[in-house]
Amino acid sequence: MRSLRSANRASNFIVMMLMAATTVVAFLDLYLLGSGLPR
Amino acid sequence: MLRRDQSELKERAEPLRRTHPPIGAMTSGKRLGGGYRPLGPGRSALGPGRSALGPGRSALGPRGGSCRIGLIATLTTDAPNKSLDRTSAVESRLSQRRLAGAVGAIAFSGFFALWLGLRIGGTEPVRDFDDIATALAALAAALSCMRAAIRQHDRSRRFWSLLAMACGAWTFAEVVWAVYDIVLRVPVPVPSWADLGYLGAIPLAAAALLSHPAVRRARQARARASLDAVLLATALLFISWSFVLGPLWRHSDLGSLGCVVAIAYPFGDIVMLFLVVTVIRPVRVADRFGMWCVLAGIVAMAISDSTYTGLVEAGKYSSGDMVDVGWVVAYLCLALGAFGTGGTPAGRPARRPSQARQATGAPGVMPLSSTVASFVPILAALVSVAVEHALGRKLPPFDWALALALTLLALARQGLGLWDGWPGRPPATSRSPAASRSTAGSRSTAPSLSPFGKGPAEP
Repeated sequence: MRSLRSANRASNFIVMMLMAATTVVAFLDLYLLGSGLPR
Repeated sequence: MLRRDQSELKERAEPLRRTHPPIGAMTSGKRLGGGYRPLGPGRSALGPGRSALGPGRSALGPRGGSCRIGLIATLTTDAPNKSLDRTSAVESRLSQRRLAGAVGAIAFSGFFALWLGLRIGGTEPVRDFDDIATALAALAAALSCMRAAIRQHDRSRRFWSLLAMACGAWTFAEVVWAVYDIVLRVPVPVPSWADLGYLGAIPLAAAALLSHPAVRRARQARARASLDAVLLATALLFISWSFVLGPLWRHSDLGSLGCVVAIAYPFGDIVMLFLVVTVIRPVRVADRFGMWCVLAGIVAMAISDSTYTGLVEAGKYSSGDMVDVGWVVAYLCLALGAFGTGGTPAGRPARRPSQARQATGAPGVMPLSSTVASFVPILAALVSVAVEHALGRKLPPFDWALALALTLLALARQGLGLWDGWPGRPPATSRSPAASRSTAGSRSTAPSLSPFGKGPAEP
């Protein structure tokens, strides 16, 4: 039971990290795309 | 249902156990294994032909008049064991089959790559071996999918049948290619009859994935699932456009049929990748192995197709190139997925939605692997935009518009995920009473803020 709980915690942590990384990179891209207009 | 009956029988047998201890306990005066042991069929603690409630009566009531305690004991102990044994035996056989198939596929792929890498026997033997082995791998995939289709008796049968037809088209294309190479000894023209088979397989494979039962479930999902699909498709299109399709589009003569055929390969791969990733998310636990193998096969095929297109564009491709390993791996992955899929017995009733929901694991929660599979292309596309800017490259207008759309979609999706998991706001899957009942047990373990954490709603 404890191992199941820790596995759930680990998978939650991975998902949260992926989500945070996606959000941060998306905001960075928005800034870069705004500053570099297309040719 | 069986478990409920067993617990009911146990409850009814409990007073009899208290008032009439087992023979072993009465004779030896000791409690053996908790004071209760099975007596075997046809035997009673009170002797043959006698019931604890008197002649002709049993703990099950008037309708179960001939039932004895021994039979109750048998039902409560032996039946679950037999059922569990049978289930574990089937699972064990399936695992052994999967392991044997995986070992065979890896061994053959390794042998093939080694032969091509070391150029054993010179250019012509390598080319002949390459053509024959690739055609045989495609044939193995077609036969394996056909076998899986025959063994299925539910809606998965259409999926495996269409995939078998797609593999048949690939086999036809590989045979035509081998005829050009080995029999006619001429370079394969572009376009050729082989392209008919290769490109004809793409709509068949797409139709197979669209007919998968998981897609039927996904179709009934809410707007968030649609937004996920659009985001995923945009990410895949951006990656492919940035690295393969865009350069090809800009540097090719679009008037020629050969160029259209060359572009059709990576484009078809995007469609198939998108469909596989969409299917694999809500897939049942029993079908997950097969779908992961299909995903691995499609990824290998996409990599090989894109590399092949680039090599052809540069005029550097010839039969027997290392890029051919990807196609053999792809066919063997498809064969393995079909080979390792368990059959469903004939005449089995259609699964009710609640049963289907249980089979996908915890209701409304996607497994980590499926979540990561959805995230990876999106994150890769977003990172590639930043890397392009860091390298000082200015994006062409179409690429820029695609990147902007991708970024806005990703942010909208994250915002929606955050809104759904906001404290005090009930999750989307628990707004209906039935859903709240079904998710009550798993609420504490579900990633509440996960953008892909909640699967599509069941009907």
